[in-house]
Parts: sequence; C-alpha cells; structure tokens
Amino acid sequence: MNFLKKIPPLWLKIYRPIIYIMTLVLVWMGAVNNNKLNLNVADSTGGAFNTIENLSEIRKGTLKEYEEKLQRRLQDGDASQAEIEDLKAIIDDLKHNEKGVVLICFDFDAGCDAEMTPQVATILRHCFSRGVKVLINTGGNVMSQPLAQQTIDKASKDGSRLDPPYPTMESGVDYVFLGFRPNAFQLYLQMGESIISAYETDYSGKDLSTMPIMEHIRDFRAIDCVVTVSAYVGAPETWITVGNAKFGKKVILGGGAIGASDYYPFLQSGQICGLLPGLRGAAEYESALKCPDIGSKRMWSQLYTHAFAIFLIILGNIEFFFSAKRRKI
Amino acid sequence: MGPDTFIDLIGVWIAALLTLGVYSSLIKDTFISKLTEAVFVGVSFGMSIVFTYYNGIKPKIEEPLVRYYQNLHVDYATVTNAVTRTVEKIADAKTLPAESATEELADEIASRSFDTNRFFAVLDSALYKQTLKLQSTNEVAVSLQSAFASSEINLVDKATVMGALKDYFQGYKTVPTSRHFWVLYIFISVLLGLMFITRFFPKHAWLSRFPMAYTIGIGVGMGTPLSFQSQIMQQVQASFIPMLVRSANGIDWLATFGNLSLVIGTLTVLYYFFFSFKKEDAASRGATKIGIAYLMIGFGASFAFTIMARVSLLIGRINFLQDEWIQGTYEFFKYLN
Repeated sequence: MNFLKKIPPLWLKIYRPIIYIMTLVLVWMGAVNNNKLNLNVADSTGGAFNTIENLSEIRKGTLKEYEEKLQRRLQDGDASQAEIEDLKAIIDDLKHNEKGVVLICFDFDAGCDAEMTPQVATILRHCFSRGVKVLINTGGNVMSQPLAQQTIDKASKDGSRLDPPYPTMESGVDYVFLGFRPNAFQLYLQMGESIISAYETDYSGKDLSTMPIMEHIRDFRAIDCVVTVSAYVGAPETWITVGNAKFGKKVILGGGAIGASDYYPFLQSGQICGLLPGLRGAAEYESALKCPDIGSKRMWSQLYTHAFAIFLIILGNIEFFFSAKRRKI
Repeated sequence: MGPDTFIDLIGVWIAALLTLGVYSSLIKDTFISKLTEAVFVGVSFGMSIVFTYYNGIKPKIEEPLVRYYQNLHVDYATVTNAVTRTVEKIADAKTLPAESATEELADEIASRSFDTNRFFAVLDSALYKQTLKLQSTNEVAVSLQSAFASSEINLVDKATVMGALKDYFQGYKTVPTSRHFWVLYIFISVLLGLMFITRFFPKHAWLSRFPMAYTIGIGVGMGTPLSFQSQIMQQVQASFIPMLVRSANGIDWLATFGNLSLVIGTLTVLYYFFFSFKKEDAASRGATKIGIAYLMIGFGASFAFTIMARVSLLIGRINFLQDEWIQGTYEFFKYLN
C-alpha cells in the first residue's frame, strides 16, 4: 500500500472540510426528499405507543383495584372515615376521564429541539386523537417553557390528519400547561399530594382550581401514565423514581439519542414501558400512528449520513489495517 | 412556517446568521464564532433568570405575600357581604350541583340532609385559597361558585343555608392563623436562599453552609430510599432471570442466549471493575477481556446514538435555514409584492 505514503499533504489539510461539506450535502439531500420512508417500529417505541393506545384499559384496571381496596377496607371495618372518604373520592375521580389522563413532562432546551420536539409533538397528537386528557409540565430546565408552549399550540390545532381526527383542543378543558416550578424532585413529590397546590396556576396565570380539566385530577392517583421527554442524561431517573417507584405509574421515556443506551436497562426491568430514542423514536412513533410528520421526513437525512459514516468507518479501518501491517514490516 | 411579520423576519435573519456564525468555527475559530457562542450563553442565562423569576419567585413568594398583606387589611364587612350575596344567589338558583352531574347523582344529592361541617369545609376551601383576592367581590363569587359546583351539597333549603353561614362568620377571619405561620416559613426560606449569596463575601461565606446543608439534607433524605429502590434494587432484581427459557415448542434458544449474554455481561463487567487483587491467572484475564468486549459494545452503541443525535441537530438547523430563512424570506417578499 505504497499509495498511502504518497498521499499529498494538501489532502491531509482539506479532508475535514470535504467530510463536512459531504455531510451537509447529504443532510440537505434528505431534507428535500419527500418520498415516504417505511420504518419498522421497534419494541421500545411500540411499548410507548401501545400504552397510550390502551390507556382506558389501564384506567379500568386502576379503578377496579381501588374498588376492591375499598371493599376490603369496608369489610375489615378498621378504616377511618377519612380513609373511606378518600377512597370514594378517588374512585369517583377515576370514573371520570375514562379515556385516560397523561402527564407529559418537557425537559429540553433549544439546543435539543430538533430531536425532541418531533417526539413530544406526535405523542401529544396521539393523546388528543384518542380523547386522553393531558397535563403538561416542564422538568428541571426552565428554558423548556417557550418550546413547550409552541409545540402545544401547534399540536392542539393539528388534528385533521389523524385517524380519528380531533378539533382544536381547548386549554383548561382538554389539556393544561402547568409551566415550570423550581426543584423538580420535590415538586413531583408534591404533585403526588396535590397538583393544584403544587402549581396553583397554569402557565398563563389562570387559577387551576377553576379549570374543568382539574375537577377530577387532584393528584397522581388520577393520572394513568407519565411521559417524560428529556434530553439530559440523569433527568429521566427522577421520573422513574417518583412516577414508577413511588406512585406505581407507567412511565414512557422520550430521550435524546445520546443518553438512550443508558435507559434500555429500565425497559428490560419493566420500570419504563416505552423508550423513544431520539429522532428515530419520533419517526417510529409517527409510523405506528400512521401519521408521518417531521420525524419521518428527517430520517432520510439520517439514512444518508449514517451510510456515509459507515463508509468512513470502513475506510478508516482499511487504512488502519494496512498501516498496522506496514508498521509490522 | 416562515416569518409572518417584519419583526419575525428580522428574528429569522438574526437566527440564521448566528447559526452560520456557529458553524464558521468548523473552518477555524473566528471573532464571529466566538461572538455567537457568547450571545448564546448570555441569552440563555438571561432568559433563565427572567423565567425563574416569573415561574418561581413571583407565583411562590411575591404574589402570595402581596395577597397575604392585602387580605390582612381588607374590609371585613365587604368580604362577608360579598360571600352572603353569592351564597344567597347559589341557594336561590337551586340548580347546583345538578348542572354538572348526572340525574341520579342530582337526585341523590337532593335526598341528602344539609351537612354543616361539609358546608364550612367548602367555604374554607373557597375563601382561604392563597391566590384569592378578597378585595375583589367578583373573584370571591367565582371561587365560591366553583367550590359549591363540585361540592355535592344539598343547598335547597335557603333558610338553613343562610343560618349556617351566619354561624360560619362568627369564627371567620380574612386570614387564618395557619397563614401567619406560612408567611414565617416563606421568610425563613427566603433567608436561607439569600444566605447562598454570602459566598461572594469571604468573611461571611460560612453562612452559605446552612442552606447548602439544608438542601443536601432534604435531597438525600427524600431521594435516597426511592433512588435505592428504583436504581439498585429493581435493577438487581431484573438481572435475576432464567438461564434456560422454555416456550410451548420446547426451548426458546434466542431468549436463552439473550439471558445468558445478559448474565455473563453483568458478571464480567463487574469483575473488570474489581481492583482489589491482581488478575494474573488465565481465567481472570479471560473474564476481564470478555468484560472489556461488553464495555466496547456498549460504548459503540452510545457512539452510534451520539452520531444520530448530532446529525439530528444538524438536520434541525438545515431545515430551519432552508424552510424559514431562504424559503420564508422568499415567501415574505413574494407576499408583499
């Protein structure tokens, strides 16, 4: 492989810009490609999709559990009046919103918007289409708020393409955006006691206690599933700890691709019921929902750039193999 | 998608130029790339301060304290008159709570006798809300109507209701005693928060240890049991899996291989990080090498995901430049013409 020795010095100076330009061209080629990309839905994404799809069944199961618990407590005869009243109240709450209630937590800033927004937008549309009531808050990053507001505004009016379609969703009735409050971990624990006392007002400053949506959603017991869409490694553990371990709720994790590999063990252990890894997760979810959108479109660019990356890795390995052989000689 | 107004257009152009400024660092570090970095950090930090004030300090400290002060000095008669008028109206209407309930529930409520304790509890929940401005008769009325609408109390007998209301007023204070303690708690919290600032003054920096200790103590105390359960116990539990998976047709070889691989991987990686003695024999070295192989596969997966994440961000910017900047600007001026 003498030709490797003859590589002109100019090439060594310009190979990086060439790789950058090639990547740029490939991404742009993907951006202008409007063909449909058929994607297989991975089990991790399918788990998330099926959880939202079967939310009413999950709710029925929870209701049955509470009804049985009430019966047991009444039969035992040692329960206090307050406990019985509380159980009756939660049973009443669970009988309302029979299609389910989801809490979606936005936890990313503008730097990760490109891979996180498609995920959360498609989950929101799925919930709206199935008549699920949605509570939305932001996690530890205050900068999630404007992005969340923008995504909610868009998704709430974007129901015509879905099956079944949905009309414009109304804030305070179909969904509520709670906004940001400091100290995520303590806040989530407080939400387990009372969501209204934890937030008091929604993002726009309206009193939560006067909103129709909050009438039968007092605490975590009335919520069926928590969806946390977080770009940060370490942040989703808070929801796994509070949502699943403390309150026994189903947790779906939409994660940035960088941290996704860290969260597969939680899927295997059953602590989360679905995992959406980056843009691929969004595209797969759109496929499962049969409503291709920005996530699916962007996968063309991913396809081209990944093929290019694999080509470069093979090239690098060939070069390494021959240079190692040369060094041996 | 594109800019609708001229101000939007300016915003899109600034964003586009800053995007190009950031990418200019691929060629070499220039004044423009450094400027864009500084703008990004400055804007992010500035915005987060403003957002934190509006979402943390304002609703949780400033507004409740202002409301507390206003409610402390509100005219007692004005409040009681407003409450009396509203409750009278609700009792006159005789439609609540049936308007939001099923017929059966409405019948059941109508058959109940008037519960004074429950009536007092509803009044408490409506009038002692932290956010309630007692000066505003309208806000008082809305709060009462909303509380009674979901209360399921039989308010049909007006005379009884008004009699109970009179009894309620005998013990009513515009600000309950618990709220004074709550204000004290707020002041202590604010004081603890301000103590962090003493880090800037070396002489008094020791004071910052108090809020630090409080914060760490609370965090550790509340988080440790739950984190131990979710991140250690449940993960360990999940690794106790059958080495031989049986299915209806005999042995499920694929699942068996997966489970074996998980167990071997867990043990060898743990063994690799066990540094208490030298691993000189062949078995130890072999186990260590298998552990390293598992780690490399893990790092490889993380690296692949990192490429996907970074490319996603590039795609986002390219989409922005193409759709909002170039096409958006073209559409904007086309629309003007």
